[in-house]
Amino acid sequence: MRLHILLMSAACLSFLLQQSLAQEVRSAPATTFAKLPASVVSVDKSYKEPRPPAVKPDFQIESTQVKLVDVVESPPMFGLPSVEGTIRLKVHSVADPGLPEPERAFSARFPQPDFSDNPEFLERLAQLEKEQEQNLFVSVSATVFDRNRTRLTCRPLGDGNSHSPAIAWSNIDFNDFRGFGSFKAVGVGGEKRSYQLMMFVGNEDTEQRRAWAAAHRIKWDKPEIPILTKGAPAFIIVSQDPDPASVKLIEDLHALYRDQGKEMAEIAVAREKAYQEKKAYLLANPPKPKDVTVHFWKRENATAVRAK
Amino acid sequence: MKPFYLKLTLSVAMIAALAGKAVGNPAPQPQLTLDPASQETFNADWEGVAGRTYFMHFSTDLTDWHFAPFIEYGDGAHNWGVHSDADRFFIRLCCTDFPGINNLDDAMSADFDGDGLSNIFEVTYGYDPFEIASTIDGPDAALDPDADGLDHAAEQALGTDPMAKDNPLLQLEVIID
Repeated sequence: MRLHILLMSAACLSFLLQQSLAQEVRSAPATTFAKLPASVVSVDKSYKEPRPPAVKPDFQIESTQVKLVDVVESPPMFGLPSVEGTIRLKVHSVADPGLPEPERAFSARFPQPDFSDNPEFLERLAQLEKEQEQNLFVSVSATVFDRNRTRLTCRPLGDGNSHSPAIAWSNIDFNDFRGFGSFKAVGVGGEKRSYQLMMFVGNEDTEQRRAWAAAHRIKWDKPEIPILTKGAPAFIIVSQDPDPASVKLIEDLHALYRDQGKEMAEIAVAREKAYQEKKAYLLANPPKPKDVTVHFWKRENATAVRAK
Repeated sequence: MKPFYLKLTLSVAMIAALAGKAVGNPAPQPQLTLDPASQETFNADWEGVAGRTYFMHFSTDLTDWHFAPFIEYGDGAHNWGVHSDADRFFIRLCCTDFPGINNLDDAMSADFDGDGLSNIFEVTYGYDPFEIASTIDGPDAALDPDADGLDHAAEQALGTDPMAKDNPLLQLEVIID
């Protein structure tokens, strides 16, 4: 009987421990450093000459057809009307302008020796793979509640393994994560991770949602948001048995915000300002679809070059 | 309810019939490749299959597709150059194992949609060689976009330009003494 009570107590303790671990407020490890690509952070404001347009080949037109085509193009920005109008589509058959044919690939011209049986080569290859940064394509879905707390669903994709997503609540406004698609992180052992982000950021205004639900007589409960203090980036993982790779990703996202959050917030404000300015300009100056010209020619010397 | 069923059954039967036609194990078609070339042009290349007629479609929005003004036929390498000033430009290969076609001349002079206009006439002037009425304006053969009184069927027969007012019956010879 005593043993039975002891076992029950142990089971209860284990359950409570698991629960407390799952609800633990965490932050990015201090030994992990993360950074954005330099092109995102440092905006070069110096004037640069625009790239000159490529010189069009000197076409000799043999025949032409002209069509009037009604087009409806997608809006240049979200919230703007479609770009509609009638364009002139000119299609020219032209004589072969005799442009240089691309050379065959180097590997095709000079077949490479096969090192796949060479142990030295294989050892060096394994070492290089170890030293090389880990490239990770990751999915990050973020719903920001009241521009204050974010519910995250994160997981790596495309590394050949199946990862269950980790679900977490964060005290970061993930709207600041818009506008870039990659970042790098260096872990405690010097291991490098290079992330390519597939990020979805949405916003939820709980008061607005509550009012909408009431107006439509729909039951809606505000999600239970764990208590997270403002301040240093922190998160609570709420999914059971989260995949370690998915947790590492959440840690690295928080390390990035800890290390570059100030710049990210500034960039987000600047981007929003530029977005609104561009939208206002496009509303005042609605774009019109432009005429299109197409040239087709038979490449007479392609076969000869290929045969070389 | 019954007419709907009949319509559905007929549609399925037609699809089955068409599928049956296609099931004649046509030779696989190697893919078209589109590679950037010099001066912002592109090379569109594909390997032809013996007995097959080729058309090229292009589009700027993936919705409306237009025929390129040429036809290719048969096996071997087919190499075309493309240049466009459109912001977005797409091409795709369209091929058919239409029976009775033995060479490129056959493919160009044939009339796949039976509207009286040759395939090459249709693609040269922007019509669909597989549709009797490519536009909402009516049958392709009856159109007269240059308004010279000759429809496309007549322009093709006379060898005149269907996009220019060149009706020989309208050209008056004025002789001044």
